Amino acid sequence: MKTPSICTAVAALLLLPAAARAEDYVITLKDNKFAPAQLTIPAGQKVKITIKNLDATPAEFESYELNREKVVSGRSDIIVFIGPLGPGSYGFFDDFHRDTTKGVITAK
Amino acid sequence: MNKPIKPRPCKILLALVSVACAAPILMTSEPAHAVDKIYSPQIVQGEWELEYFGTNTFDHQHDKNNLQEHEISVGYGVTDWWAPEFYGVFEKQAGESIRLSGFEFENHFQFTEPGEYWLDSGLLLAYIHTTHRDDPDGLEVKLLLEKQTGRFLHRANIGFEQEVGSHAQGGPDRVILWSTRYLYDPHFAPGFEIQSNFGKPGEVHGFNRQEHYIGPSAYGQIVPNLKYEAAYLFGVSNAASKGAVRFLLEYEVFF
Repeated sequence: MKTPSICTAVAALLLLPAAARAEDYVITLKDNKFAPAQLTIPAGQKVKITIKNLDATPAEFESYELNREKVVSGRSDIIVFIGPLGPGSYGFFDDFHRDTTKGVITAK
Repeated sequence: MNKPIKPRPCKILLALVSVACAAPILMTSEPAHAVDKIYSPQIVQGEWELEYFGTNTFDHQHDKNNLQEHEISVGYGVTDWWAPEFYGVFEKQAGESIRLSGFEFENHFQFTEPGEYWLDSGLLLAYIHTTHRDDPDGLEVKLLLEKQTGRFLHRANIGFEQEVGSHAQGGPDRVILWSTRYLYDPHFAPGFEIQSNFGKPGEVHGFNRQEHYIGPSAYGQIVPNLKYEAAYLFGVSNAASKGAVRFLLEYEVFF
């Protein structure tokens, strides 16, 4: 049964977790500032980051290096999965306030 | 939900002017299935997209040279998993002038949260309604896959394009599109693309009777929220044109 086997393999690949379990981190956004603005995570591991927007206005978490772009409404949360990353620094910003609201994730 | 307010009339005008300037350069573009845009499965909720996409072929054979396609579209991320997009499609076939060939209604679905699983996935469903009564309509279905490894970003679109309606002929054209880019800088990410149309099952036999292209590409943003994609693809099978260029300008905005 070649076709079902291929379908099963593709489905398994699509649903295969990137790592056994993602570590959890939280970044808050208040008064258009990320906290922490510098987050250190382990290199080589997938992490799960909850972005908590404490402001009333919406924001867009965006990172070119991490290939992420996601809107977070005012006073709400989103979850972003990142990695596994090689050692280095990866910038992120709020696309609605890209000149002032920035942060860096460092993988070590 | 509070919608982001980002009125940017000057940048919208800039994008439209850029499209108007780029179009004549590209007005030498595409065979029916030559080269296409390669989609990411990711959707941004609440984002409007204004887009121009154009292709153009080059060949010493008249019937494969200067074939063009130009698409102008508007899309919107209704949810974080569904984004419809509406296109006007203009084509130039061999020996003809550019004409409005049809309208396309596209639905883009995101299946998984980016990065949650080993592979990100989504689906593209599109219906193309031709404006010419002797031409068939079209249905396009593609599985959209994406994988990031370090600063390398890989995308694959796998699917088929089926003629439908009273003028439809044969089975589906099977296509596989691949792109890899290095996320070097927000303004410039070099990469390459492979685009293959394997033709209809049982009708097109052998590599040289299928259309296969490979070539360098570049991606990035010109200014914030105005993105570009450009590729020059070399035809590597006899059925393909000697070369094809594709170009995309996309302006993203929230209202």
